[in-house]
Amino acid sequence: MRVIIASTTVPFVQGGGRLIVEWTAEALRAAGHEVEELYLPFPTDPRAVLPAIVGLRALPLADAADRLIAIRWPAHVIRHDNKATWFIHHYRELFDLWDSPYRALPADGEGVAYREALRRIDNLALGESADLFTNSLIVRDRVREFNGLEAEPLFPPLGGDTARFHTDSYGDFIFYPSRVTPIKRQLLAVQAMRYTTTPVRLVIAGSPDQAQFGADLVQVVREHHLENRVDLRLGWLSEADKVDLLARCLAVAYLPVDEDSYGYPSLEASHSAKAVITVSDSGGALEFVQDGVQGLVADPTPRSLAAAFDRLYEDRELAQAMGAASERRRAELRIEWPHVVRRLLGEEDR
Amino acid sequence: MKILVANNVAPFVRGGAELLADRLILELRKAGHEAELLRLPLGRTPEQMLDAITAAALLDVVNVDRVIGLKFPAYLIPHPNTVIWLVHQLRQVYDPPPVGWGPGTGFSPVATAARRADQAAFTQARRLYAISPMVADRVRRTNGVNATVLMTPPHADQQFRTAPPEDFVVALGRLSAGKRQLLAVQAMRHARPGYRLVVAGAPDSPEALAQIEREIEAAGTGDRVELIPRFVSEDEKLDLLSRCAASVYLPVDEDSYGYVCYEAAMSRKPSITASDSGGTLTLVHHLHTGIVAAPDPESVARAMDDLVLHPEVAREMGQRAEQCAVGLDLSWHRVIRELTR
Repeated sequence: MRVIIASTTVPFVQGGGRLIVEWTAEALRAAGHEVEELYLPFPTDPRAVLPAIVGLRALPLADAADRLIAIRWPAHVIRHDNKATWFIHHYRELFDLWDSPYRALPADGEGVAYREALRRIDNLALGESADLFTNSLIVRDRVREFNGLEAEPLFPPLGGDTARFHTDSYGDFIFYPSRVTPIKRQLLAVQAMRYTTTPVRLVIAGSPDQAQFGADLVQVVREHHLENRVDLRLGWLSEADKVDLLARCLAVAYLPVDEDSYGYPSLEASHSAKAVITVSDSGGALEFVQDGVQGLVADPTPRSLAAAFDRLYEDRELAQAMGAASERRRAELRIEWPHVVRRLLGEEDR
Repeated sequence: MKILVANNVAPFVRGGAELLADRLILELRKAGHEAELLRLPLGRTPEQMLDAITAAALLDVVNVDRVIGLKFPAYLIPHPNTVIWLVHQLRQVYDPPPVGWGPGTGFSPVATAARRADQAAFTQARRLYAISPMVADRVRRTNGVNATVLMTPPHADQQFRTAPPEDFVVALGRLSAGKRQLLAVQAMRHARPGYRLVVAGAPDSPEALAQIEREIEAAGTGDRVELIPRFVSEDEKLDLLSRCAASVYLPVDEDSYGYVCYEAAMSRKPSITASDSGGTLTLVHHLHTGIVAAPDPESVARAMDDLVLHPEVAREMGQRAEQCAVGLDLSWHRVIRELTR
């Protein structure tokens, strides 16, 4: 089949929204399809959004392929006779973040009218899609709430050759691989290390978004004399090093604030047969991790998290059993490309 | 600089302009810039093309320091720091039929909109370059704006070589109606005995190949025309060029100078082209670096005869052709310097 994958980008910004497109294209090609990837620049200023949407809507692609797969908002407004939308989030600052400091417009008459205009556009574009998917249950629920439409959750797998992941041992350290940024709450993980009672260690690896946050982490480690138990690897982490740390860790920590989806660290843990420790307000991660099954769900406090770290340190068999459950969880949720590819192309599952 | 290269896309089709855009991105990165490619579709029907103009005009490009626009409608995207390196206007708008849309084809609203959009884009661009004198001429004629000629460098950095001329003339390039290898094959009906024509290149379509085969069959020139109807490797190509008596390249109204003519010149061989071949005249100067023949079989045959039968003249023309090609200064270094200054 000839497939166009269309997504929006901010040029020169590499984000998770781009990876899902590249990996989907790769999986479709591996399944024998011809794929064109179209990356369309889209503005970030809310007031620039409406005219830019009209521009996307005008793109003459209606008959240019057998199937169009629209991914990042608002690529779903592109017209096509056989369109699948894989919705990964709304214009968040106007919908799920409306009642938050991130709201993009004043909540006055004009702001509400603008939001309603965008809601009607989403309703139209989502509604006219031949198939409508979301990347998580949370986003499915939001589509229900904001648009009154029913979407099918379709969980994005990791791309590339996942055979690189393996399991060596269940060591003495919790591994937190992620972008280092306040909403991923590496600071909470470090604070937890003040309250652990076992010799469990913590390895944090990733590039800080802002140098200040990295400096804060270093400062807290020093202040509480945790240098021997917290290993901060701030900076670019090679894929080989990450795979190795995953293979040897006791479990993986993933502590985002109200994330939209389960997050790739959860999947990397799963491919390495490791349990995931997360917190009760982490959002999408809870769709993957059930407390006591594939990992532990702690309260978002240092003490509660410390107890979770200690528990796995003291019970390696539990860590190993949860790791095995974490590995099985992918199959339960159908996080596998053959399934995703079939559904994106509108084919029934075998 | 963060540079967005704007090209068009015909989904699932790749050609010379795609190769050019990919190479441009590579060369920009090599020169220390960040570069990304944007591809916008043109569509096929009049309604789609009008939509394509709207889509390009409303595209809002942020976090980009410069746009380099290559083809219609991609070079229409608004940005305060746009440099256009014009590969193509929408030729259907400006050329007479059969390339252009005649009256009554339903495309006149597109033509009007495209002219207006071109005019605005060309005058608002910070600088306007054209990939060949042909393209610069057209934009001057049709839009009244001056474009600086900045020719596209050859794709690969090849090791050209020269050997003594053997008893054949070579016709390289994709086999297609537009490249008109058929005319060279027809010329062999009129050529003097004593040499062959080697036609080498992948056929664009089965029909393009069948036409040539039918002509060889009908003319009974099978023993004088060697047909290699497949992709020809760089090395094979350079070998054929190094040993030929001359290169014959007769495209219909080509926009660029023609890589085939460039490669022949760099191999110190004269080229035969046709008076209606367009851009090839950049490198083929009549009786100086080759022969410009009328586009009919007899004239092409006479040109081939002349070069094969007078190897000394051909050798001198080949040397001058090389000087001419080197003089074009077709380096990526220069292209990048111009497009980023």
